Amino acid sequence: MSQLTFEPVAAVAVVLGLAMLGVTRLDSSFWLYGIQTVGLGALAVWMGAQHGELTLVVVGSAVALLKGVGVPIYLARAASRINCRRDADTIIAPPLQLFLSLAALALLILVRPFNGSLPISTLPAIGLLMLGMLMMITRRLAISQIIGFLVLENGIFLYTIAQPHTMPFVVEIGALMDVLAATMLAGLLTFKISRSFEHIDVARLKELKG
Amino acid sequence: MSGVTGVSMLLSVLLYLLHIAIAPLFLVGLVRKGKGLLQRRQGPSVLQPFHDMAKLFRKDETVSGTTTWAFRWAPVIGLSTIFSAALMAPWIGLRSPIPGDFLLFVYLLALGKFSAGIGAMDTGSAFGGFATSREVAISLQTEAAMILAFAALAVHAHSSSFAAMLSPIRPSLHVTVLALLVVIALALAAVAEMSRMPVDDPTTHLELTMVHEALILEYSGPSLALMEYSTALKTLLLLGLVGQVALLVAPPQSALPAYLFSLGVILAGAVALVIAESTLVKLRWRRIPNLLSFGVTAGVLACLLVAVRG
Repeated sequence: MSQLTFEPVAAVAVVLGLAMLGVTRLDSSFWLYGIQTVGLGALAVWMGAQHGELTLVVVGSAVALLKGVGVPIYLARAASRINCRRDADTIIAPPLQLFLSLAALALLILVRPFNGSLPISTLPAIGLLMLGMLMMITRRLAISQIIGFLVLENGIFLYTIAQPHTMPFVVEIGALMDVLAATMLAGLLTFKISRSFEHIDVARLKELKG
Repeated sequence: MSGVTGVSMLLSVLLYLLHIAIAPLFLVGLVRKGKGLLQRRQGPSVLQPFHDMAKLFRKDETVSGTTTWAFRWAPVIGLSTIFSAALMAPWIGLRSPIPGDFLLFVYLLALGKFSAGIGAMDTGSAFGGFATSREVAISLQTEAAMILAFAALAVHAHSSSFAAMLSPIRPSLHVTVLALLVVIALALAAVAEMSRMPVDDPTTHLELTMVHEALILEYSGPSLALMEYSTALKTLLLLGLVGQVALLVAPPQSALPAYLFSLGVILAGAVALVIAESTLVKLRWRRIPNLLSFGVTAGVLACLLVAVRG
């Protein structure tokens, strides 16, 4: 029964990750990220309640609230403060990114690399991780790169809840706090970059400024 | 065949023919009326497309001297392909009169588009050429999305016929995700196939942005009427098919709820068209592949889901 709920939710999380890869409007990607993270948090709460593990319930609700609701609002405010609404252009065109990542996902699912040592329940997590990485590589806007990092981190979270044994509570909460602190710092840094350089295009950060 | 199924089959055929005859123009009228209401004006009567059609049939036709049979035959081929496609897909929730196959369906639509393109290029006008090139470039992605989405359903049902693909299956979360992906792929392909906003603007004339309107620019009189009727029928057909896929999530017990639900989905589609055409701006030509690539992606994902979970 737990498999029947886990798989569709994980699949929808990957679909949302793909959608984030395709959109270039920042508002849409904040929304998609929020829905994805709340979904993953709810999945963790549900799995925790099913297996009677309090750790997963607490971590899941913290993820849904702090990362799923708090982070998108924080990032949306940061984006509106520096008046930035969409990715100007990406290094690979969005349709091509979608098709390339689809090919990678298909290879991952159909060919089953690593001699099948990875159980099939962890494949969506690895797919999400790769999508986040691709987003960090191809986006030029600092804020989009933060979203890529957050998607990558969602992949790691999905990997931990796909494991039969949960991580210790301290590790889970520690990772969550690290991500939150990193996002805060990156948001602040973006603001500083935009004030010194009048843009947040990381491809154009070539000269030093005080 | 027993008497009861014979009667219900006859009834279903009659219903299909009735809907094919009346509903397309009625849908066009509803969309125009809705747009009028949303813009706080009265809008044309819902029956206006019928009057337009009658007027076009009474008019003479102007045919350029440089054209050949390709130009004359394109409207007829277009209408007959759509008509056969409409008889073979179960788009109003009842069993279709002709047992149909999804590949044949997609390629009938492609044949209609091909003949329209050949006809438009036959006139030698610059508009025909660029409209054809644009329409074909768009259909590169819509066809892929439609075939992939239908193929996922076909593999899931172990049959490529519409009757088996869209027949009720035991609902589960897995089927819901599959149906959701297929609906996304079909809906995005349908928006482009119907030449509607935000891919194409059906109300502009003689603008460099237009796609489908430039394709039919040289037609007049009865030929134009056939062309417009084919487009309206295609709109209705695709909206109805999206509704059939949505029905997979909660299959109804008998024919009547399925029929009513299909009509409801078509009406909801009309409302969506009204809202989209009143609020959205047309996408820049270079951005259209971005939108349509989501449809192809959803189609590929549906196929992957079926490949993994059967």
